[in-house]
Amino acid sequence: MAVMEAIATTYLEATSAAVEFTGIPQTYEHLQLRVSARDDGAGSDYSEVTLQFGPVGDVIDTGASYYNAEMRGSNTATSAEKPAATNRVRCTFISAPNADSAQFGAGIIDILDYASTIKTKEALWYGGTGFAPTYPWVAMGCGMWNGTGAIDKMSIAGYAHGSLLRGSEFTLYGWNSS
Amino acid sequence: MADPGYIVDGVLTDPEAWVALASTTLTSDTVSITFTSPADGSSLDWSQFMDLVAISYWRSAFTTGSAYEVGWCFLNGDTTTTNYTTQLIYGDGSSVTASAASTYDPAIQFGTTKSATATIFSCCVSHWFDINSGKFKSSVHQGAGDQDGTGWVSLAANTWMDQAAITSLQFKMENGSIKDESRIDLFGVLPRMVA
Repeated sequence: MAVMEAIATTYLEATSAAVEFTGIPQTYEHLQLRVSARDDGAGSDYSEVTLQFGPVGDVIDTGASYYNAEMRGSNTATSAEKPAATNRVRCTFISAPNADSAQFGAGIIDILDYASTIKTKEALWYGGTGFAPTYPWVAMGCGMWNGTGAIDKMSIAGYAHGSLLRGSEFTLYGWNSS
Repeated sequence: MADPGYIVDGVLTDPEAWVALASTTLTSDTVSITFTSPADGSSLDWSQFMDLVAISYWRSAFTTGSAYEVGWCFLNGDTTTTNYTTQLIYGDGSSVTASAASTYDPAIQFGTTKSATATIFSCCVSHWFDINSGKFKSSVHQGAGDQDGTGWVSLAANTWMDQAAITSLQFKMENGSIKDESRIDLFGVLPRMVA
């Protein structure tokens, strides 16, 4: 049995408000989402890729059911943030319009025990964007979805649900154990 | 181009998304470790992968100066450091520091083991994304270099400001050689393009 299987890749050929993975098999132990993306978030060099989850038999949860924490470095500044409950997991590592047009931020998001029906779901992420005119950026963080349903769908968007730009790429992997 | 070995009559026979590409363990101090795509259409040809992952368990052979070393990686033989930019964040057990671009241009790890006890090596897990695209090539790197009394943990985001596909990786230290017994393992990560 393969340890890591590719479930699906989405490579945007045009700007898109969101990318969705649906019908995610319940046969893996964990999920990994690998991202290379930029968005149209105005007036910034760095931005966020955001996630919302949906359980089997229900729609994607768009309520204030998500909790985030992160730490980051930009130039010589370090910072950390733990915002109030919000409507998405926020992963701060993709590029935005002020960065060079060939610059796409990249990162990895692990979503652990996603098929459990008794636990809330935790996403662990890290990534960054090494080049931008003023704000190179690296960060790691986590986001909890306060839902116990088994995840079989997710929606991916940019900052504050901004659009993801052409060339953004997302591949979802399933992680097996023995 | 002929199908790679894991595609038979158009059917993917091995669903493993991570493909072991190469492994090098040094038998003497060496200036750099280089991996190159065979570019032969085989199952190891880098042109078919979405991402690359390298796991480095390494140490610097350079013994003078500060206790830490900085691990570097050049792409496609481009050793012009100004073609790379890096954002680093690292901690030494008492403070956290961020450092950008001009100081650590091709850096992938801050705090690579150098002058610690001889058996202590540091590790770094590196990911290069969308390696065959026309984008600048972005990568992220987690590093661990505890040295029993000193040590650093680091996270780096690096960009090679070039739009060519990645065909080679050259690992080295900012100063001196890579120490004997250091090892680096390289993996390719496949996508799955579905309708």
